[in-house]
Amino acid sequence: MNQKTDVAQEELAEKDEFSHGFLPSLVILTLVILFGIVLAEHQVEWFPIYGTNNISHKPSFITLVPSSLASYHTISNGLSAFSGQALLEPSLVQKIGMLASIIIVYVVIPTFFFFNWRNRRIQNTSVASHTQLNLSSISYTLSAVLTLSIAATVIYSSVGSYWIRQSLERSQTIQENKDALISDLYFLSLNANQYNILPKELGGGNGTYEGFRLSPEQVITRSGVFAITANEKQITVTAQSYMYPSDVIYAVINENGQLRNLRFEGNFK
Amino acid sequence: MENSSITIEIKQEVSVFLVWIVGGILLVTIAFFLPASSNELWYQLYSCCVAAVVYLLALLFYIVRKPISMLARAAATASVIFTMGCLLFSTLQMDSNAHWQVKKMLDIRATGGRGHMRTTMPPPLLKTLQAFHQQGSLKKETLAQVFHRLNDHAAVGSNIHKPYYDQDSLKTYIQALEPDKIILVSQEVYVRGKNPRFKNYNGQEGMIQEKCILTSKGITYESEN
Repeated sequence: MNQKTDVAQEELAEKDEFSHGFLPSLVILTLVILFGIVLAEHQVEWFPIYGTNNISHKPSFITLVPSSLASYHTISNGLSAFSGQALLEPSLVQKIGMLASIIIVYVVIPTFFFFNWRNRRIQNTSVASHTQLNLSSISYTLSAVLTLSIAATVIYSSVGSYWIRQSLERSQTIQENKDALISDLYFLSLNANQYNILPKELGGGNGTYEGFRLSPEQVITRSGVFAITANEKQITVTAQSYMYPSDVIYAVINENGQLRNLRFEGNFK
Repeated sequence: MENSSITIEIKQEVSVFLVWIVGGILLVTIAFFLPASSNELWYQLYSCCVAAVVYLLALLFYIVRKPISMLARAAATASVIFTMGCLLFSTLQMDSNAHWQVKKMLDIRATGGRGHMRTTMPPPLLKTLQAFHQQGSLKKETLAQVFHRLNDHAAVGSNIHKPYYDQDSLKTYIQALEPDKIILVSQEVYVRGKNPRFKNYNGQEGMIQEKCILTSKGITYESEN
């Protein structure tokens, strides 16, 4: 190697890591991607791609977490099934949004970052060592920020989704228990009403709740433990959860057999 | 002369960069269109994730080749593999969460539907029972006659449920109207029950259905599907 070539190489390494015109275009590309992601993360609607379903956490056209688009579509279809509407295939725009997200997040940004990273490692430079703010360092910083954002989002989402699931399961269990107790209470009010209506010769109260008792199956059900206090005109009921004993429902069955004055304690509140 | 050869080298590097980008985009795009069309985006997502993982691993091995130091190589490889592991875990978790939420929504719909049936079926039967026993020991009307009179002379097979709201799809049919027994059957037209092959009263299959039987001794309740 002659001396001239070495000097020229060093100069070039300091001044131009990439060919002339390439860096500006990459910087523009990075800025566009960054701008797009910032817009997308702020829920800017680029296209009316999600119909009229109103879901609070609607993902954007392009997102750092492409799986959120698939989640959104699955849940939208779940809501359609919930209200008896036909399930929909993802629209072309939704598919394009998903594909664009995957390409940007998993191909373009990491490739740009890794190529930059390799160049920097080979030339033994870093962002911190650059005293001058040039296009190369800006583009490297942007690509690094984007790549690290993607990695951080992925790690956060993997941990977050686990905890969200745990939290959802617990609140769902409590809600299911509450619904089951209310259902049992409703059946109890039905029995009480029937007791009120039936004549004494058929085991009823003939217009009163006096003498109304719970059967052993009604005292302890799969959801909880029930206790009543009956007088002539009304029954006071206490339903205590099995799983969470501090969760209790108090209610009154009025003279018309209707369940009234429901009061919730503990997690049922 | 040397300057121009270096410029050519750099241009080659740029070309390699562009080849990687275009190759990655092609790989992921092809993977995206491999799965058959369905109601879900998950198949496309998983297919793309596999392609992206293959691409990123290949890119990683290309990027960390010599003269990158062993330490930097190990750090980059570990970071990429850790992030890809998290990516896989979070994707699987989100898939599982989304389907779990949908299942819960449909369970809630079924529970709501059953609750709706249990609140709408008994009142006309209880009114009938009350009117029947108010006749005293000497009955002039049978249970069926009382029910018929109190419910606009509804006949067997007719739906006596009046919708409470636009999307109220509940149907309550009179299955039997006998002197000493009345049977009401209530069903939803799109909410699935436990047995998908259960034959519903209106000819549909697998929908939730509950039954109320009224005799002079009171109401018995049956969850059919």
